[in-house]
Amino acid sequence: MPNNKTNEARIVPTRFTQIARQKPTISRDAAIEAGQTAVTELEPEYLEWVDGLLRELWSAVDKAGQDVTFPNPHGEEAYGLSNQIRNLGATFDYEAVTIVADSFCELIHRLNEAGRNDSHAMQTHLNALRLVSTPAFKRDGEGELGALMGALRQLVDHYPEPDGNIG
Amino acid sequence: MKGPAKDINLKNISVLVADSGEPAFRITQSILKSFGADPVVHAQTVEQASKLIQRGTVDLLIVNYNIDGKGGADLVRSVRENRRNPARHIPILMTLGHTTIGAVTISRDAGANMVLTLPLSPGGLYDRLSWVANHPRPFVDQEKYVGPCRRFKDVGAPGGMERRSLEIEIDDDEGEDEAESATAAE
Repeated sequence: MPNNKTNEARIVPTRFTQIARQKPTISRDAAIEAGQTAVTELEPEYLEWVDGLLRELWSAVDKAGQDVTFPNPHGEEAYGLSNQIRNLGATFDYEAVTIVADSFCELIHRLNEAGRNDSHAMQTHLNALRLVSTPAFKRDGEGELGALMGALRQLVDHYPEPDGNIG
Repeated sequence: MKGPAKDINLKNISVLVADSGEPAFRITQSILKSFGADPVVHAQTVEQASKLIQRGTVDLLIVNYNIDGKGGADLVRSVRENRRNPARHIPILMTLGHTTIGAVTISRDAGANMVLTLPLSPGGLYDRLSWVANHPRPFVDQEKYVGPCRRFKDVGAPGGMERRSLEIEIDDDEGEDEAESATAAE
């Protein structure tokens, strides 16, 4: 089969670039205001979303602990779910949820890279995530976050850092 | 990215958001619709996304790196490398939550125009869309790489602008070769 790929690089117009440069445009300030309003309108759904994701995460962590195969598909699933929780927490300014979920992601990332399974560390992260996800923790408990993160950090640092975390 | 973001028009721009998570889609959709984009369609799997893209009606793809495990890069690669795909040149933004250097490199080498770290902020997303619209890059079609030329740099948001989105500096040997091809083609 002939290789008809070329070495030439040229700018290819796309419908996106053509339309986006036409008037009427939306200014940056107007777009930010409209975007922030749109995000704020979704905030009432936050707790329900996180609750649903935590239930799925609970199931994935449970299965990951029982599955000794590698790569562990349930570990991958848990990584994706904790990522989603992390992003939701960050979107709606739930700092503790964001930080604990990010630690959970980092733990699973390191375990995957090391070819290891550590159900104790995963379960501990899950319990911490359930704790910080409650409205009561956001109201009264964020002062305890430092101590909690110190304990989680030890679990994560038990495994080598495969590459830089730049998030 | 230097200088203020130029105003853009997203009316009737069709966006496909490929993300396993419903909440992530809803947030992205809300922001994009508030900018004027319409329709904003959801694909929860790589397979769904591929089918929708093949129809040729998608103007912009926003794909999460962790769709179907870590399938985001595979989706981007398949869009770029399929010569019969009418949408192979569309702008593609890759979103990343927990971010590692490896994931950024893989996203870039798969052919994504830009990598955005989550959470998406309206300002960060607007700036990136404006940049993609106003700074189109030569499209490279080589044996080892298909996608926007990687030599071109995205080295930081303009002064005073939001920096929640990841900024990547691209300056390496592969990019060097691509830049030469781009120059030759101009």
